[in-house]
Amino acid sequence: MLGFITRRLLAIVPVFLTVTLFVFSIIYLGPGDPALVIAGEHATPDQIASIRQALNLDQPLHVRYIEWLFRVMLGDLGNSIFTGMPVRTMILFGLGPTFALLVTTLIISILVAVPVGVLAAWRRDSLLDRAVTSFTVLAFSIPVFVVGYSLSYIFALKLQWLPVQGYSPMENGMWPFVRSLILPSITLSAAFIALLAKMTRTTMLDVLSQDYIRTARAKGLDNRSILYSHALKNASGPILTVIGIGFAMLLGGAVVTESIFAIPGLGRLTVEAILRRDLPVIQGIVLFLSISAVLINLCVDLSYRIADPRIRFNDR
Amino acid sequence: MDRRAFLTSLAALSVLPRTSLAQGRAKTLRFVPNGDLSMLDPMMTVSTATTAHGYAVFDTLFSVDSNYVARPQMISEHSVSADGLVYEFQLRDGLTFHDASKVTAADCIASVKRWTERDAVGRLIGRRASSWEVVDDRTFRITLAQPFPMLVDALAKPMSIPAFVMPARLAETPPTTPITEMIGSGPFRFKQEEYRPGNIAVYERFEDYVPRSEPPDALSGGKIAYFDRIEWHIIPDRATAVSALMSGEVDWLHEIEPALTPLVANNPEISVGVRDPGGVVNMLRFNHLQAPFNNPLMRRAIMLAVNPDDYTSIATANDPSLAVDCPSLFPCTLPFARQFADEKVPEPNIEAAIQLIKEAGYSGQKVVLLNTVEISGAAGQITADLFRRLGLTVELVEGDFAASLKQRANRGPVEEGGWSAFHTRWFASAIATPLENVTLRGVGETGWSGWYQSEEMERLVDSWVLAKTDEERASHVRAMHELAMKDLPSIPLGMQTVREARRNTITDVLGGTAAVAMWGVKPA
Repeated sequence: MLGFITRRLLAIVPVFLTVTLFVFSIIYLGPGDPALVIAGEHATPDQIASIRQALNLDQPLHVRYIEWLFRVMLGDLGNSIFTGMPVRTMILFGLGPTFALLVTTLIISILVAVPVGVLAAWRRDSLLDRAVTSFTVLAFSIPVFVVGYSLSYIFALKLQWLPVQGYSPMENGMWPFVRSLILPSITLSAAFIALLAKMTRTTMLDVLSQDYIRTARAKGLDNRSILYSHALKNASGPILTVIGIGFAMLLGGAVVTESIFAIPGLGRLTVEAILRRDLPVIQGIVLFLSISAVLINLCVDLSYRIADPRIRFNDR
Repeated sequence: MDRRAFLTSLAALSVLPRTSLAQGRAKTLRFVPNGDLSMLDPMMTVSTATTAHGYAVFDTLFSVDSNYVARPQMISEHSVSADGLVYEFQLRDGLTFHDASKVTAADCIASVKRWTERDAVGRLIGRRASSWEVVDDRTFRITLAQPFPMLVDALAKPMSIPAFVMPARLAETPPTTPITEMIGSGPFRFKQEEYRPGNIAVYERFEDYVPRSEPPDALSGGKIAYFDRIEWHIIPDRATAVSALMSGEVDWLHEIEPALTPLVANNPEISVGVRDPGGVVNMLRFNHLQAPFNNPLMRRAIMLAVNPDDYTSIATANDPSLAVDCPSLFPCTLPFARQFADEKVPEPNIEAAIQLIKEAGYSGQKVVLLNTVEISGAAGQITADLFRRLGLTVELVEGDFAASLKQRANRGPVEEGGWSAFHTRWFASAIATPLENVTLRGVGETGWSGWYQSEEMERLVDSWVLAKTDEERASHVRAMHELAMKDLPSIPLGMQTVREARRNTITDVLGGTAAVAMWGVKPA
């Protein structure tokens, strides 16, 4: 097990190098020049050149990349070109809201999607099953921003039960924190619930047709035990995979939800940094997301072991 | 606990935080700027959000009133020598920076020097200045090698980029490096520890600020802060910002889109109005270095064909009350340019334009039209369609501001990544005088993208600067306007005013220029 974990952690290195080199090249070769954005249209060519030099943009691409890598290894992600803030600090500011949003989204999604998917599979072709299928089609078809605006209009503007926008950190009180996350989490979870419910149903249908389920029924076990102790445990592998992939996707894909509800998370930070061409921030976020993706996949793989004790990790 | 008691206590919990928060917010103003406050140094960018931030934290030696007349702000008295070469300024008593240090003449000189290196108008002063002297702690002198009668007006310019005063230790930062420490002498102190880029910026009243005794008038006069605390909430989605205003989560939106105005128009708790009567000028800028628009006949052909109503209608969401007819590159809403407001906007004539294009010898060269959607919306689509109807070979390049800026800096032909024309807009306050109006200045390759060159235009601008009477200035402005309409450095595409929206819990919002003042506004 330890060997397995070590090998997976070491895999961060090639993933990190590949992703960061690719994104580094795209950013520097793409349209837009942060020196020009800072200098403004009325700057003289000398001023623009001076800014470029101060930002190290006059160096060849490979020199800049190696210098950046070296600083990263010393824990220095640099400072934002525009705000002057350390990139590490900006990422930490954005991480809290995004993490809170993703965790609540995940909790809502799992609590809704898994039981619904299990029941839909158990009651195949019933009204419930058809309702679940229709919901998944609808949830995939409706854009996130439509869901967000609709929920905001009904529950925030008209009923005034919840805030229209903003994020309240936990230190300001648990209830304001939870209130600020309800609508964004439901918005973000709609499509994920659809995906997870569909995957749960499909996997459960496969498992429920197995011999050991027939044996369990023949032994006289109640439906609850069959569904949750036998069927769901065996179906957990693909479900955990979807949860892991979904979490990684949500990490980068929450930008629309964060924009609609003005949540100052990593998604918004990324988009704003790209629009400004705030290169150190973009590079820092890519670094963080690539490492996170690897770690999330590692956690998913380890969770297989918990869900299914038959799984062994080859330590050789 | 039974179910009824539980639900009752839950309802009470949901109300209690709102009530206590509302009490805490009685002295707090929640403002939504029209853009992100990502750059804090107000001398590094022309962004209106950063300029408004600058006015909250910093002060200026002079500032304009609602008629764009320069008035002393930090200055108590000033004098000019008879030959117009020596300016002496004395600071008001009691001016203090937020770090408790006194504002001195040395701070003012350092700040103005930094401004002369950053700002296009400031550079004119910098080039003319032969010496900068500290006479005493509160007095300083600027000696010029050549007269520049508009020096005080230049120091009062309201936008793009105002001459903010900061401590000398900050002002001595190289002009290409943004300052990150926000210490000014303005009516509000910036709370750096609460600043979250892209989310929130917080200001608190500076108790030691000494306002002038005159009543406030636009950016001039007494700057009295009636709120203890001002929170800037950065809400990138405009519909969400309007919803937040409707639900009472914020008090004041700097701008409300015309398409969203009907949502609040009949709301008894919200007022919508025009705070800045100057408005915005839309225009199409040509590249004067490259074909085909280095040919004046081609530019005149475009002028014959455009219909400014097409552009103002998309900018105003077809609200005629916001549109302003203005066949000039001077903002017709400002005092000195109102003379052009009544001039007839010619009817578009496509056939005449096509004929003129033939006479110009256009032979099918590719025309690259740049459009920044976040600034000019669908204007690029309208113009691209017009160009095609005129028989031009068009490539429309739409992108974000950073990409557009990079391509605009390319002076080469379109085959080497250059451009032919781009859409943009200017706040009237930012091009308020001929000196600041880069859209028609003829300084060539040292000027604004497009690099229009005209010695005659520059001679007229110099004459305007040196004019001694208002009548002389008006006649020079008329001559500049006529030359600009003949040479067409840019084509004016109409104007519109911009509305703001605020809850009726606040009142006395100062208007007059595009720059937003955080002082003067008070709880209703």
